[in-house]
Amino acid sequence: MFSKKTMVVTGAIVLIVLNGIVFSFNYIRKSSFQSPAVQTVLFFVGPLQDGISRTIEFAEDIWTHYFFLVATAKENDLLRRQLAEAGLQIHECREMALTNARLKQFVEFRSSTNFTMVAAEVVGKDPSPWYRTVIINKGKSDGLRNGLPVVVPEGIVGKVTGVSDGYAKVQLIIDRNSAVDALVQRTRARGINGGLNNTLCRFDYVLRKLDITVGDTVITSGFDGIFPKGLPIGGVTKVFRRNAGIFQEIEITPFVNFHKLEEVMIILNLPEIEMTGE
Amino acid sequence: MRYPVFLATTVFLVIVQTALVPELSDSYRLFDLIIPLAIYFSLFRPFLDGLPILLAAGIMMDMVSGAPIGIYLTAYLWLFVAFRQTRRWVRIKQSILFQIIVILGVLFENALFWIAISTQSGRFVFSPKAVQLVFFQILWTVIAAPILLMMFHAIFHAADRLGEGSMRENGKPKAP
Repeated sequence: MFSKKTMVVTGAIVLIVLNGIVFSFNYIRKSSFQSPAVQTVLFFVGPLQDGISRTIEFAEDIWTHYFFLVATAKENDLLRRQLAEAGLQIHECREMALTNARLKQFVEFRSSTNFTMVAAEVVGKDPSPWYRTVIINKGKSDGLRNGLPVVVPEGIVGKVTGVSDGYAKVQLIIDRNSAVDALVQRTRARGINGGLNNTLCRFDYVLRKLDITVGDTVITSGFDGIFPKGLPIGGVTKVFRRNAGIFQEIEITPFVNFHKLEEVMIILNLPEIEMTGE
Repeated sequence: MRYPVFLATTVFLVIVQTALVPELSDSYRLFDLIIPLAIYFSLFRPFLDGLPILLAAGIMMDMVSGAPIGIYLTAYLWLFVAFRQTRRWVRIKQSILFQIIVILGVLFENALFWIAISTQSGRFVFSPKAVQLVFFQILWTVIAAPILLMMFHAIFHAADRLGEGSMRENGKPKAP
């Protein structure tokens, strides 16, 4: 009925007219705010969009604050473990540094004397609070025998009183049964150093007439045949002279901290007894 | 099976009180942990269960301590024999009674040490520190005795059951 050409031209005109209408409506909408159609559509679509948007937000929230946090929690666990390991390593390093400092002192002490010494670690302590002995991890196989003196750089510790192949028992100078021949460094007053309680020593059989004051240093005399002469024992902290009696009562605080005793040295070559007197 | 378990428990207690406890607190020492063991054997176990173990415990403690040789051994044997007699008059099932008996044991052992020290030094040795020490030991006893009682019950009953089980197995006739 219509030629092809006519149909193309008509179609083009219809499209131009439609475009004109669309442009006109666009102009009307812009100039007269929302059209009722748009309002109707937004009335229905808006809440749905809002709902979807909130759901997505909620999902995102769950993802970021829960599922994502599972990974964060795992990471946190890992970091905590790494932190604990690092803390342990720091502790080990500090402990090594302290041990190193102690052993350095030991080496210096060893090289400053002519004694043949063997170092040992304290592995056990006396189960009774009334007696003071320690167990060390060196024994007969290391050349230890009963009566050998045990020392640290700060002063004397005690003597070996029992030995097995790999371990030895050391009676500390703060033990009540301990007795060390000693003298006051300043006045050369002689006496016997014995244990008093868990931390202190007493200096017995010191004549009243001898001059001893608080702060004096007490050293080994070398007369007991166990401890070499001149090793420090402790400082005088109390002097008491009764009205009667021939001796004075003296309290000594040892230079060695027996609560922190960890390593000791055992002198293997006993000194010759010097009977020259002071 | 029983004796190795008894012995292992004894060695464990000796190690704890000579190596572990002094590291934690050197000033206020724990009471002797073998005392509750001696009293447990005395009150709850047959005579032949307790005697060899307490002999071993006493010798072990005497060897590691600087105390006069035999003092621990005699202390444990005294406690073992003395409290065994109390079973005739008192039924000790409650931990409070066990606590009291262990406190008596601790006081008895400390008295033995005090006598030993006083006789050794030839003078009456008394100091506030010693009183403080005994006081702290009693406090520790109040805390630790019920726990030790439970521990001994659990370990030794398990050892008994194991022993019974193995005896039953050994007694079964073997399949041809």
